[in-house]
Amino acid sequence: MAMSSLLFSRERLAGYDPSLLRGATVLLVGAGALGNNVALALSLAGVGELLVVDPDVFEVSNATRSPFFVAGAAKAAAVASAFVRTSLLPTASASFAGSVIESLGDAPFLQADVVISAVDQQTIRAYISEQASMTGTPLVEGGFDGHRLSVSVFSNSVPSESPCWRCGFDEVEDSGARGLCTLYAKSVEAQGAVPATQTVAQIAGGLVAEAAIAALHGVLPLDGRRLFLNVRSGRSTVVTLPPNPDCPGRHELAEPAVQLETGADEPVADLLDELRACGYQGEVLLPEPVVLTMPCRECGAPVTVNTRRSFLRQAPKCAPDCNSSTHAPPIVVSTLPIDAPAPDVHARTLGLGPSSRFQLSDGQWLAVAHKDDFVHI
Amino acid sequence: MELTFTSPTDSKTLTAEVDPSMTAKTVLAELIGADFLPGQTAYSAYTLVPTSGRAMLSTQTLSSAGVKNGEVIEVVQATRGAA
Repeated sequence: MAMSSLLFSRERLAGYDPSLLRGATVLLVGAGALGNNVALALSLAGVGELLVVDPDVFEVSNATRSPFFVAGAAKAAAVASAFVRTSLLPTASASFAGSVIESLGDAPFLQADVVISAVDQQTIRAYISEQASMTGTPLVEGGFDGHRLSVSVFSNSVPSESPCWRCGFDEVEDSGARGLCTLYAKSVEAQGAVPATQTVAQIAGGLVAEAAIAALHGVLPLDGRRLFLNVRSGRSTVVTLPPNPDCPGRHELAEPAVQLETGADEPVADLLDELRACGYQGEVLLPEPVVLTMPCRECGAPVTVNTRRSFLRQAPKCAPDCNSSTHAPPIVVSTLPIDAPAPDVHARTLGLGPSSRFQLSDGQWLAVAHKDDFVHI
Repeated sequence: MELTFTSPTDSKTLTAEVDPSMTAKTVLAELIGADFLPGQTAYSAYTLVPTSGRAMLSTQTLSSAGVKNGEVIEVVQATRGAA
């Protein structure tokens, strides 16, 4: 028998469609231990394209749980390269972005057939959940804690009628770590969390990958449910997740948007110029409040910050050696009048990444131009 | 009514008398106060799961969740890591 017909022969018997997987694109957010093991399983299963997002670099403590570990390397790049190298498909491809997912706009979610959340921080899980829900893309979410793991699936086919990840969390804690797993790990371990092991990471990775592969086939047995497994005792539970009528997350598909020509890395002034030229009026509703200035944490003098509120970690200093005292209140904006002067920043700084949809005050939806932020292997 | 709660991390159980009008949030606070569960943060969010298998929302009462006297309620805990 020819090699090509033997390859994936077992997978065919198990119900996989290798040609379907070969044509699929999976967005993997998080290239830590879970992401490593997910990528390994997807690569061997014959998934055609992987988009990997992670701003972090490998540290020694990651080595025992990350099969694609390269000392000091950027995680996203290393995992993307390893995905292609491991794959048995001559056409396998991967791309990576070494930045936080929140800065990449809607584009990756529009491109993917399935989204995998393999991140630890809750704020990022919430963001991924919202984006997947808004774009109607199936989401597989996983995590672990010592010898326990969990996997949940959200089809997002009818977000208004289904639970999302956010439904189960009244509060989402911001660790302040902003994508850096070492800082996050320290804060969580300080609260009594037990670090995970390779066996847990591998089992969780396999379960997440299997759920993603099933979703690519249109089969979602865990849709709206969460599997909990204690890999040491074998105890498992599958919990049905109810939709939360008071969920702070988004439960509706994004409405069709008019595509603009201005891109994420162009000045906001250009964006407003284009809106005026097209006859739009009113205000741009920003995806989240943007802090334009904040008081210096020493003297209180206003310091230009121009940062999304969720990206701010601490108050700035007006100068490294500042140590004196007045006080100016922060300037935070949630809207941008189309007819007013624009702040001197790029659209991405205001939360408008590639293909990001935004709404005008009159209810119209527009979208920033597409841009490929990924580096292709 | 009397319910038995199972721990998310080991084989411990706790049987307690509770009021059917108590919300999941209140019950969990009592379990933490009784030292059956470590203190909860958003990181370590707990959820109550009756025998129906359907997770309770934090503001949902035991009675509205259909919980019956003598039932075993599983406490599950959000996982915190992926790295």
